[in-house]
Amino acid sequence: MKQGRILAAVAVGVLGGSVVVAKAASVPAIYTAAQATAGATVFSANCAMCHGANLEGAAGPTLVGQSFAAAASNYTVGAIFGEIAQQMPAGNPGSLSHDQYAQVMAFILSKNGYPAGATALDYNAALGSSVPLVSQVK
Amino acid sequence: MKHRSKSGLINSLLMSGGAMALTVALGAGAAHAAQDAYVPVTAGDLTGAASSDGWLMFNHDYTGRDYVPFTQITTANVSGLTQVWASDKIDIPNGFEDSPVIHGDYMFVTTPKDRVIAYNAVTGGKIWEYDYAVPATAYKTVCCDTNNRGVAVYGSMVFFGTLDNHVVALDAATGSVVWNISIEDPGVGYSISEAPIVVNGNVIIASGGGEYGARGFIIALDAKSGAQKWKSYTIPDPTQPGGDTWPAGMYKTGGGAPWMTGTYDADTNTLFWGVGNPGPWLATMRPGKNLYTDSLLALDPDTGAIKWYYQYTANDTWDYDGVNTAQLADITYKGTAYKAVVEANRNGYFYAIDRTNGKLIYAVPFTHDTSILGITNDEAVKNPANEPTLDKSIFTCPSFLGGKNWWPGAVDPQSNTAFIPTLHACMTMSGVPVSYAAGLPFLGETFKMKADPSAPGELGSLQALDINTGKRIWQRKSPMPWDAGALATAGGLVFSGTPDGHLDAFSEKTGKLLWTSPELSSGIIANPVSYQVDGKQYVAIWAGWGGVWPLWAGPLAKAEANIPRGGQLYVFSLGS
Repeated sequence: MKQGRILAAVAVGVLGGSVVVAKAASVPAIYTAAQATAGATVFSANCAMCHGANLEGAAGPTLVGQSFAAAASNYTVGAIFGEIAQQMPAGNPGSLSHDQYAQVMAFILSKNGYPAGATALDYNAALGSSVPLVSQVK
Repeated sequence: MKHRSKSGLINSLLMSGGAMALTVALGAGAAHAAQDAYVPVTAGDLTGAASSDGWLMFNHDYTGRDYVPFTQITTANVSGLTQVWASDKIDIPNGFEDSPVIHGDYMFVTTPKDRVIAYNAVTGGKIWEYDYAVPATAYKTVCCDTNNRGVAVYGSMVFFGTLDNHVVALDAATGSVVWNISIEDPGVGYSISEAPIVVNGNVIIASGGGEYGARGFIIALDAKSGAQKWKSYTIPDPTQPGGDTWPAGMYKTGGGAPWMTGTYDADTNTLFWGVGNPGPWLATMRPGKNLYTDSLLALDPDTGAIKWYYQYTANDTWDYDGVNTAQLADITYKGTAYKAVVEANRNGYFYAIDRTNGKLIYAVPFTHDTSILGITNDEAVKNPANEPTLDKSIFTCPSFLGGKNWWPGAVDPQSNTAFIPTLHACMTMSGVPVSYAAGLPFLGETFKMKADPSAPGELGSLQALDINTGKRIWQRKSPMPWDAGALATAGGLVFSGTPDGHLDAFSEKTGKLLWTSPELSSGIIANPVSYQVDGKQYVAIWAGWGGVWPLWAGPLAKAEANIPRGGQLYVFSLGS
């Protein structure tokens, strides 16, 4: 077991921090690449100090992988986005623009194996979204 | 709840975070060459901890007073305190909230992310180190940093809880695992951050997770084997007394996390344990008193049976947990002698409660308070104008971090003075819709810290209260939050730390600053401790900024944004 874990850790390192399952085709594209790119900057400035530069969690919860959103968790994009848009950043909730919140959500989706597409994620649509959020990162 | 066999529980060591755990015992010839053989801690040692040379549990002794009887360091000579040793800097950028436990010349500490280290208390030589290796799932449901506030000691073992809800016993001399028990699954809401306490051979510890709707519990494990002796929920089910104080079914997600270490009255064999906020935060979603949230529980430590309770804030909507240390004190109030417990509550009131029956003796505000209008019929009267709803935003004081948060204050039993590290802040709060989902915050409110308009430029203070009267004796105000513990000594001193990295010593009588340490490597949020080895008195403190203030205070915490992170333990004594 121990040796297996070490090997897995090496594989993660080689692949640059994420192992994406080849099931991505079944996951909807609900944000644009530009949103995710912008979201990385917003995340870095407002979220990374608690959630970690790689979303691994520190003083705040992890936001990537099965430790964040396993299938058994039954999360939706709307439920997670509600937390982000209403409660975050902790200590100053609601202080980002609607566009910035959508960008952060796009960034988190991208890090969890959701593909970018042609349609931008809209703030209000995201709040009501029933799209399942199941991390594709093992 | 899952019921696992005892052997299955013990074997869970191999299945969970413990699998990656690592103990490093240092070889002979290291700095601890003169280390004494470890002397097992007896039940009598724990009962007599108040007069011991060591610091045998989180709050020093069962009374929870954070008071030591030592008189070597005094108001007259404290200016001569110098550093004796410091640990290596520990590169974890989270808050260090541990109170070291000292027995003989062994010192046991914990760090964020559940590492345990044994040092020689005199030289600082490292004896062993154990890294629990918390699994990633546990970080899903932390609310307020990755803290671990310390260990308990009994027999030849050291006990601690973990963020993924294990309780672990280590061999005190070597750091090797004796037993490792899972008491709840990680990632669904529960976590453990406080130090256990050992009473009558049981290791007693409790759950966190009040922000995730996790139904709180206190649990006792046999110190020798880890086998469960009892488990008491802080939220009654509908068949139990108090079960009718909840809307149907809501007890299952009612929070009430008893997330700080309890205290104990050996004379009456009564365990005192504070209970945290109800879930969700928005009170309009759960009409009723919501027992036993925001309450003090008195329990039988051998069975877990609840003897009585006192609820500080009924149907709370402001996150005013009742978990601050319930400290034993014998007081005389208006001519009548009482065996009391005193508590500086998050709701901004200082309480004295008869510890034999749970009856209120008095409660007085110790900070600006617009949430609680006063005390009527022994209960706090809430200000309905300042309770948020889905349609109403409010501004009230104190903030959700309380007039005082977890950091322990001190009580000097000679002068009957309480020393209270106090926050001065208010908040806005609005209701928002929420539904329960395991592993997600269960709040129903959005909230922001605001400066207290009655205390401009002042975020914290240390104050002294005469607990025979409830009246303030002195107050030292600070532009910084006062979010570190206080230690009182028979030498007439109060020690406490600052966000900008100084350990300070004040006169108990006047609050005058008598000594300040050189600037340490990080800010202080921990509790100072004091102990004696071979007739020499020491004072120890963790530097290691983090915890609730930088996480939740938002713009109010701007001044502290650049405080260096990382932990380092410092030990001081008088120069020889």
